[in-house]
Amino acid sequence: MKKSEFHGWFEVARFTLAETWKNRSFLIFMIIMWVVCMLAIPVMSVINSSGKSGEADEEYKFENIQLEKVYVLDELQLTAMGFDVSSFKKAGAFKDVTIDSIHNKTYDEMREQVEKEPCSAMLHIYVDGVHGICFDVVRAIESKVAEKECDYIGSVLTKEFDTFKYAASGMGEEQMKALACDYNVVALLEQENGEFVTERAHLSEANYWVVYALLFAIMMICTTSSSQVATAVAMDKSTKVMEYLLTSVRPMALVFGKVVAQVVSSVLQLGVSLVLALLSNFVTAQITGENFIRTKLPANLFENITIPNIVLSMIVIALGVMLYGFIAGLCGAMVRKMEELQEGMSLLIVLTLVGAYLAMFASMAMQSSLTTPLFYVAMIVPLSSPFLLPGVCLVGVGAWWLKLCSLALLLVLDVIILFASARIYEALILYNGSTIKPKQLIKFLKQAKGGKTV
Amino acid sequence: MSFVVRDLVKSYGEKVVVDHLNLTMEKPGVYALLGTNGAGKTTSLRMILGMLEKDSGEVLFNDAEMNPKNMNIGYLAEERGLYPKYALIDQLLYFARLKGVKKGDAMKRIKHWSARLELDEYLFPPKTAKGKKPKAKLADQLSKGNQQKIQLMAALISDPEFIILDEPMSGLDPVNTDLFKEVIREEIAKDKYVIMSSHQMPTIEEFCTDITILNHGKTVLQGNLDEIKKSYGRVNLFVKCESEIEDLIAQEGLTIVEKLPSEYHIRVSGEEQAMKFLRLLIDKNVTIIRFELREPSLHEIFVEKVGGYVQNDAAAKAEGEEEGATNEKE
Repeated sequence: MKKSEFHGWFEVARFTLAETWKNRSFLIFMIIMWVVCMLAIPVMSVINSSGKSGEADEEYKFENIQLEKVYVLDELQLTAMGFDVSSFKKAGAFKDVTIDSIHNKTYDEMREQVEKEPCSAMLHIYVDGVHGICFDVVRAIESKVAEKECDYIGSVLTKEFDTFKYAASGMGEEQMKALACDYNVVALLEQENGEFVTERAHLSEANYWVVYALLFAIMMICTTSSSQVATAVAMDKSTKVMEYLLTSVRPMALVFGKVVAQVVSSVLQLGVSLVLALLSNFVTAQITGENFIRTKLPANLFENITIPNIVLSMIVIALGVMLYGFIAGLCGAMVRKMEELQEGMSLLIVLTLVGAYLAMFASMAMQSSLTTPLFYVAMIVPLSSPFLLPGVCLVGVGAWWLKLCSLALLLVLDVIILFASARIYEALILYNGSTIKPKQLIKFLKQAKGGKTV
Repeated sequence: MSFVVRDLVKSYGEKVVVDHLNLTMEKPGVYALLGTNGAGKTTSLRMILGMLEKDSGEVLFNDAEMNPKNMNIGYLAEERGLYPKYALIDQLLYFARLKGVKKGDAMKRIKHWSARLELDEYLFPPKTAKGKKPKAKLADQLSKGNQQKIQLMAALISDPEFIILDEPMSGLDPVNTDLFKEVIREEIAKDKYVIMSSHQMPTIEEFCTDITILNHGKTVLQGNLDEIKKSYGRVNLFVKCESEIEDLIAQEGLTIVEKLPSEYHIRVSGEEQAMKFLRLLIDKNVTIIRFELREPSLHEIFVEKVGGYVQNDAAAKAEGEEEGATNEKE
């Protein structure tokens, strides 16, 4: 029976996975991560509810407000145009507050007046060259009126002024509501069949945070899993177990098995963390009666996150982790002893940083446009696409052909790096010289291509 | 069934580390590959195992190109290797599974070899006094000798048809050496092909019928060990007497190879000269404690063959250095 290059990879993966999960430092890291995932939502919920109780206190205090009189100094004559400054009195606590419109008095005179009356405040309406129309609610230093009371009057008047503006332009209530809504720019592309396909011209803020958060999560996974691959590969060499293993399996199977184990481990870690966070949210919702994720995150955050997008993202994440795992295998194969691993990892660190930063800048650029050259470059270059593509797939933006090209290139590079790292691994397996510099890799790759062992 | 290595060559740059190695095993048995450090033994073994690409030559098993990846080979490497921080039992199971042994069978074999090599206390430690299961032993908690036993287990766990043992007894105490010898004898009795590399000549003499001595990659002696010894003839005479005999040795014109505290190792031309010397000792009323005429030992043959090369190399090197120094002066 002829054995293929990959024969035995499953055993290698199983053993590596089992030993990784038995590793004490790995276990501690994982438990901490899972505890954080479980506690984050309850803790945030508690903090949030304590904030809410503060707001309730304020409402209670509004029932006992100190404000008795408001002087209105309207330099713009908005009240004469019909602007209702008494709208804040709709709140029950303020219903007894008297409003006194002042004419023929200066700001300083009014300020002195307010200083004399500790339960009064002044509403100063004017135009500022920098801020535009201003509604200042002024109280004296010795005033009994609370800051919150003044803030409340200000916020009510700001909303009232918006309504006043729309009404002054002759708009109806429905139009006013429509104008008050958030807006979103959508570019449509006409297809040959006459249908229009939505093309997002830019990434919304909510989606940007999804892409950004995923980018960091993938970077963390790639960094931890690839360093584990490099350690495992280097350990085989430094402990001399390699010579024994090579009587049973090919270097290709060894590298592939180790990388698969780390990919499975990382995806499991991520998956379990996600499940724990959702479970924690569910339990918290049952206890507090409020679904934290649904109420606190933007409503349009999940609008494009569908099951196919999640599956596609997971595939891309797996391919990305594998790519960096194979590069890590290459780095591990370049050293003789564990002590040299740090030096050997420099190539991996540089490539990870280049890829992650490129993806990060591209994600920023995506907020303004999805057609910038930086976005295309980051999507095409297989070093950055593992960080960017999962997020792009998850939120369902970007042209399908670009995602397909990106995925294909990532897959091709995965295969190339796998073969290259296995060849280097094979060529350097019994190498006892000094640590190999990245420059020398090309030379060794050429030798390895010819089946030569260094 | 046969195992043949034909014109095996390996070079690193200009340096030829294995120079046209040939060896043949017509039937199962033990073949010894000998040589000084750096002679090319381990490189040859690695080429036979397919770990190193050979520059030229072929390795045949049963008249076909030998593919170690498709064979069940047991290998005990010179540089011992175990994962220091992984449980021993896990490692052994892993090695067995890589060789295609099913988990159940692997456990049975581990138990068998654990008992045979007296490793039960490490692989299957008894429960503690409180009835708790003890922690699995790690490789770095074992002595060097016990680690070597674990590695022998790993090499034999798949019941290999072809076994390569690179310095199997190095670093073992006399008790464990005997244990290893017994195990190797049992494997030989199962009609397996065994290639052994060692610096311990008595061990090689004990097990091997055929040998190859390498020096700087070149084969300096090869053949059946008994025939090689016979070809040297019985020229080594060991004499131990109660009185001093150095004058008598000189009188007969014999060469003293080595003078031991109470014994002489003398070089004779053959049995006839030895008998003549014996008669002289009797005539002179010398009390003889030991008088032994024998073939040279493998150790002596090895030293003669390789030592000559080493001396020649040293002389050539010294000559070269001298020439270099002269050129510099000029």
